Amino acid sequence: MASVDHKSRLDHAPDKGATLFRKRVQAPVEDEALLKMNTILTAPEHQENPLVPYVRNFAHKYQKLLIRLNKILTISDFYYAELRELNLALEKTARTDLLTGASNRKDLYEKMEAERKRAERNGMPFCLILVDIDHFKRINDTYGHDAGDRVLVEVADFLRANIRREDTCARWGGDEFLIIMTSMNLSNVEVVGRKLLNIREAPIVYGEQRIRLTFSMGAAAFRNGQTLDECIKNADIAMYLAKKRGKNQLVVSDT
Amino acid sequence: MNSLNLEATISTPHIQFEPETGVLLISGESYPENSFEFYAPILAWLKETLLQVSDFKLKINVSYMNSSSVKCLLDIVDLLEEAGAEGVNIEIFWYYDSANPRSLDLAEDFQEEITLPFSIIPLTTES
Repeated sequence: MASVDHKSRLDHAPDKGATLFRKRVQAPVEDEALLKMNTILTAPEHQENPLVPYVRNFAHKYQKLLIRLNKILTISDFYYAELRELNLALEKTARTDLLTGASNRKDLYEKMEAERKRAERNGMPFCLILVDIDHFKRINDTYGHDAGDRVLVEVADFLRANIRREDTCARWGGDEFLIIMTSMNLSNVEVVGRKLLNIREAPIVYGEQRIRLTFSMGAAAFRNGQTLDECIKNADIAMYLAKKRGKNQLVVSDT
Repeated sequence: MNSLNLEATISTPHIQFEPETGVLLISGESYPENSFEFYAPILAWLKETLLQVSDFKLKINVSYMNSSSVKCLLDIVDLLEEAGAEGVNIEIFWYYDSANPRSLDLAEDFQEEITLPFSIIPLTTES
C-alpha cells in the first residue's frame, strides 16, 4: 500500500531566504565627513602639514568604525528577518489545520465574526456551506487511515481551488469542512454548491486504488440578529437532511 | 590559566573554555537585557587569557543574537585579531544551520571582518 506523505501542509510556508534580498555592505563610501577628510588629506597644499599623518590615522579609524556599524546593522537585520519569518510561520500554524492546510476553527471563528460584523454594519450577506464526505468511515475501514488522510487533504485542496479567494474553507472536524462564502446570498450559494457537486467527479488515486467521492452539503445564510452558532446549526441541519435524502446533494436551509 | 564555564540561560549563550584544549565555545542564543554588562567580564577574561596562551580556538554556534551581542562578539574577534598579530595561533570555527540558506550568508558576513583562519562548518539535523 502506498504511503501518505504526512508532512505538514505548513511546509508550504514562504521559502526561507526568498523574502530578503541581502546585499553585502563593504564600506560606507558616501559618508560626507569621510569624503571631506580624504579631500583635505589629498590636497597638495596640505602635504607638508605635520598634522596630516594624525588626521589620516583618525580618518582610517573613523572609516573602520563606520564599516563596523554597517556590519552590525546588516547582521542584526539578518536576525530580525529570521524572527519575522518565524513569527509569520507561527501565526500561520496557529490558524491552520495541520493535516489539510485548511483554516482551523480559531481562524474560522475569527473570520465568521468579521463577516457577522460586516453583515450587521453594511447589510452584506454571507453564507455557510457545511460539506461532509459521504461514506468516509467506509474509506477509512476499507483502505486504512492513511487513505482517509489522503482523501481529507485532496478534498481540502479541491474545495479551496473551487471557491473565491475571499472565501474561507476550514476543517470543521473529522471529515467535515465549513466554507464561508462572503457577500453572497442563498440563491448564489446554491449555484456554488451545485458546481462543487458536479465537478467532484475524478477519483482520488491512492496507490492502486481509485477512490470515488461524493459530498453531502448543507447551506445556510446568516441573518442579522442570529448568533454564529445558530447559523452553523442551520447549515448542519441542512447537511443532515442531504444525508437523509440519499447523500451526494446540497440542501439549502430555509430558516 | 582560568577555565570559564557559564551555563546558558534563556537569553544568554553557554560559554565555556577548557585550558587543556584551548577552545572557547560560545553556543546558544544571545539577547541579554544588557549585553555589554554580560560580555564585559568575558572580554576582560579573554584579554588576560590571550596573554598566557600560544594557541587559541574560538568555536561559535549561535542561532540568535541581538544587536549589542553582535557588537560584543565583534569586540571578541578584535581581541583575537590583536592577539593573532602578537603571534598567538588563533583559529575561529563558525557553525551554521545548513538547512537555512541565510545563515551561511551570516557566517560570511562575520568572515569579512576577520583576517584570522576562519572555518565555516555546516550543522546538519543529524549533527
